[in-house]
Amino acid sequence: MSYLTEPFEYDFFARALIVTILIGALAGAIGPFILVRRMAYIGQGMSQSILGGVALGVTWGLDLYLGAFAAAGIAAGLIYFVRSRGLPVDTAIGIVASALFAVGVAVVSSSRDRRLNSANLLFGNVLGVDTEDIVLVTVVSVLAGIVLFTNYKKMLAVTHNSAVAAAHGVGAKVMEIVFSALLAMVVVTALRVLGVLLVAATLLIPAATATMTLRSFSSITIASTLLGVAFAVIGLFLSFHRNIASGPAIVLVGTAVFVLNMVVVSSSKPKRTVAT
Amino acid sequence: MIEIRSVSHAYGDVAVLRNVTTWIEAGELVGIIGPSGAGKTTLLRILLGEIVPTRGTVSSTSRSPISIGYVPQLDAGERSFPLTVREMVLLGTAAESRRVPWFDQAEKRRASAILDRLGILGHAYSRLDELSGGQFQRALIARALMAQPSLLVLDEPTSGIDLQTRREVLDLLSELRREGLTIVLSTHDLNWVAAHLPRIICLNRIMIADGAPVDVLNTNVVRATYGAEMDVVLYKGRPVVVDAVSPERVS
Repeated sequence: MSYLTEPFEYDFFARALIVTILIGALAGAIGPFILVRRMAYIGQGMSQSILGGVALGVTWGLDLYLGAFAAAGIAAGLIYFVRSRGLPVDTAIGIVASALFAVGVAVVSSSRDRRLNSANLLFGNVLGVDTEDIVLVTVVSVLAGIVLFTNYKKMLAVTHNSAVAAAHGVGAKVMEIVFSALLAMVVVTALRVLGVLLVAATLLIPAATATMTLRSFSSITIASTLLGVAFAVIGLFLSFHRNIASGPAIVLVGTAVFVLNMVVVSSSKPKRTVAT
Repeated sequence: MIEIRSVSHAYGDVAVLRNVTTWIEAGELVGIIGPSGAGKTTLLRILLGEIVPTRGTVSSTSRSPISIGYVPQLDAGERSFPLTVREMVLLGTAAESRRVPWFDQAEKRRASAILDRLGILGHAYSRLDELSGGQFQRALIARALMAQPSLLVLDEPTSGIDLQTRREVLDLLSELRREGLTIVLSTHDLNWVAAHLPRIICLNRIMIADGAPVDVLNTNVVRATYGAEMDVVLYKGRPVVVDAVSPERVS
């Protein structure tokens, strides 16, 4: 029992738990869209890119999140620009994300600012969650949640077939922008807890786990949201008790459940036999 | 009536449509035929409002705005999506539906009625990748009908499905037309179109011919449209296009 109660003796844990639950829910809810759009690489690229913005923002005396949001916007714009020059999207992401990540690493490695701790930025650190983080993550999560809630059907229609959705009266281009904004919101708000390297995994693992067992997209979205929260909370306790960074702890919990689920699903499927 | 007037379109320097003028009356069933690259899909995309033609106009004489139902070509990516048939059909009403993540009872009843009419209600809770090609085609039509269209646009609705399903799809389209729905489809299947549609538009970047199959399908039109030598014979009063076989090749 003390395993569950002991962490709450520390003020930072309750703060971290609130932030973690919100991020887990948001990442879990948007994850199925990322999965079916095959946008995992974009999520990874965008999260890597924000390191450059964070590093430059902090160095120039700006807010950490302001730099992160600016970098996410710049990354999206650059990826669009490189793509418009005729290069494949994975090449565009690879170039832009690597360049902005390199800027971040270069600045962090030469900076003495305590806020630019490379391990914390890369892998997350719950100890760093303060009241400002809670306010920002809560506001952004609630806003993103409302946007997702009110646009769910349109986003799903556009994700499935944007030409059909547009013909049927859905503003497909607007929905694409809304979706990119949601992705940027998740990536930036998850920065403190998950770090820039592990955000993509948190977007994908709950969704992939749910997709293996459930049939309808709506049930996959609900399950992915709940799994996102569960992985985040369990990972946070693990992080506290094992003294490991919160990002890897959350990802390892999710990966363990994903692998277990895969084994169960594989073993329960009837084996195919060749008719003779 | 929808009027397509002097429409031209180019992708970069490549012209795909040149000076196409035609019209579609309300309640008509019209087929656009032509080979690959003839501009059929471009013309459909212009009708859908997806692209604006480089030159020319598309206008409607109808007082109320035209609502469109669109059935795209069969696509493996769309089919591997983790959706049930009912979920996909309900998405046809996403633009008009309330801004909550679920559909109301009236929308669900309407989806069930459409699925029942198309003979796939029993597959309402099947995943899309569990359907046969014909069942999936019907599910796509069901989604388009869910949008309550006055104009139904179908891109190659008969490719990739078996002969029996092809006939069933055509019967369904004829039935929908009798109920007053305007239908435009593209196809490269000459005999299927020639045998069944009341009006065809033969297209190969320019307008080749426009009218009833029995009036417009002849050797010259087929040659101009497809660039191939084929004979047109009448079978039970319908034109049938056959490969022009020379005596030398037979011997």
